[in-house]
Amino acid sequence: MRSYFALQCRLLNRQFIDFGLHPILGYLLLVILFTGFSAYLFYNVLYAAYVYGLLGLSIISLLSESGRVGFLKQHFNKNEFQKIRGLENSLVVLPFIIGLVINHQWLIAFGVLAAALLMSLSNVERNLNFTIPTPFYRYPFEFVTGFRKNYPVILLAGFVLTMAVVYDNANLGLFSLAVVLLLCLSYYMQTETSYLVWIYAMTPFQFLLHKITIAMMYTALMSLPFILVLLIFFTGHAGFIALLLGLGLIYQLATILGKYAFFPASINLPQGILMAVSFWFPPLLLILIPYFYTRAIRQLKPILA
Amino acid sequence: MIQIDSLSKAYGSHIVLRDIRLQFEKGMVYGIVGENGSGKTTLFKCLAGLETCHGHIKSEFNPIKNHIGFLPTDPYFFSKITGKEYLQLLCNARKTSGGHMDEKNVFDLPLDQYASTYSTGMKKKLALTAILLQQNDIYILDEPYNGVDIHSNMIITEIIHSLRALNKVVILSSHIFSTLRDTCDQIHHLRDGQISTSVTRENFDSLEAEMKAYTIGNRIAKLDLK
Repeated sequence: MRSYFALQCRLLNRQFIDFGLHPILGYLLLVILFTGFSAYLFYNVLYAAYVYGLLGLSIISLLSESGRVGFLKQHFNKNEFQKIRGLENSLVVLPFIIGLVINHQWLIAFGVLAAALLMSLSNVERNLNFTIPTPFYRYPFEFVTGFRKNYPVILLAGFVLTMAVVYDNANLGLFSLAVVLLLCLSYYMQTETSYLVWIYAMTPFQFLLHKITIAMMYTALMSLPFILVLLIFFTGHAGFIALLLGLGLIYQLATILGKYAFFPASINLPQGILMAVSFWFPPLLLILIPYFYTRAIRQLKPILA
Repeated sequence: MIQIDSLSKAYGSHIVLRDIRLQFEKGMVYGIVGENGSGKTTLFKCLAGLETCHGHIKSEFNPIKNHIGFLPTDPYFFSKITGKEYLQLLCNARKTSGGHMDEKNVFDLPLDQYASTYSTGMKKKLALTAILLQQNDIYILDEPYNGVDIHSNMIITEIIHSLRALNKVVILSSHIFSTLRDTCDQIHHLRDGQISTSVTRENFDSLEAEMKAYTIGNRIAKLDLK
């Protein structure tokens, strides 16, 4: 069991190294980002403790992936298997529990830990024969796969929106829309194989235009219910809603161009830093978007031309 | 027609392909045989434009890649994408409708299930169906029979015959000589990155005998089986 966790640690270290970071720096960065995110959430969002707890549990659900659970079952005896599942679930929710305790949310912290342990005992496996329906089937793959992998987050955003309407809190409603827009953006973080770009009978420009058009169309479709609810219940905030949507679409554009600017390599550290800085300082996008576009055309040319 | 002249490929100092010269005609089926690591997949990727290489590839199709249906040895599928969505993705990429996919599902695949849950053979059949729906002019099939059940092997053989009749260019590799014998008009033997032998149908037996003699030699005796 110790060797299993040592291996997981080595795998995580490799992820950091591939990202261009020394593992120690990587862990440090994770702690800083998580602390910053937690502070922001508890400071700005009503019922943050619930959102925070559900987020922790939704990450655990990813560890219950059938292939992964099956592999563990196959290679460890029953006792070790239960210990591994319990320990890794507890380790994943530990930062969330610490955050909840610091904010004096004792009951929710206890609830999250209990739910995490229960989830490890129940060995919930996702039913592979059940296909989650999606409205994005016409143009696979980013939204199709992203929607199915992250539907609990969409449900969570819907819950937050409902709370915003019930308690007449426009900021909370805008937060739910921001979550959906960020989620759409995250669908383009996954780098496909060269083959799945090569198959397109398009020039690099046509290819990028195709990808961007689909992304914009589907982002609008996914955020539409949220926008409609916000416009109905918080009509006075129409300007903010439009601004948020506009920013979401511009970041979507930058993310797609950024992804193909370094294709077929995955997102790397300098690119990640540039993108992160642009979130704090949006005018940087005026330089980033043309830069990413020029690079993307250059990177795609050998594959598509 | 496709004309390959002086095609070479190296990864650093390791030369994988050297001075390959081949010609592929319409309405013909070509087999490429060779040991693991002999350069078959690299040759296919160079031909498709998935790998850069030295040399010239001339064709009436321009750009040639937009007319190629390439079946990789080990097709990649995202998790959470269904078989039907994969077919849709490949059809969208070539701006073809794909028609009634359920009717064209000749391998009876569970198209509404996630492709990542398919067996090796089912994945291969899905990837093959996808490139067939694209209606390409050239088909490069890297080990199409690998991991596929015997019934589907029969279907694949018939599909290759139909493609020949439709005047398409088909290039395939296989580790099962009988599948090449059943489908190919010409077989090229790739050894150490070079085409060592090219034979037409009437000389397939001699190629097989030559390969057997070269490959097996006295290896089995070395095992000292008791």
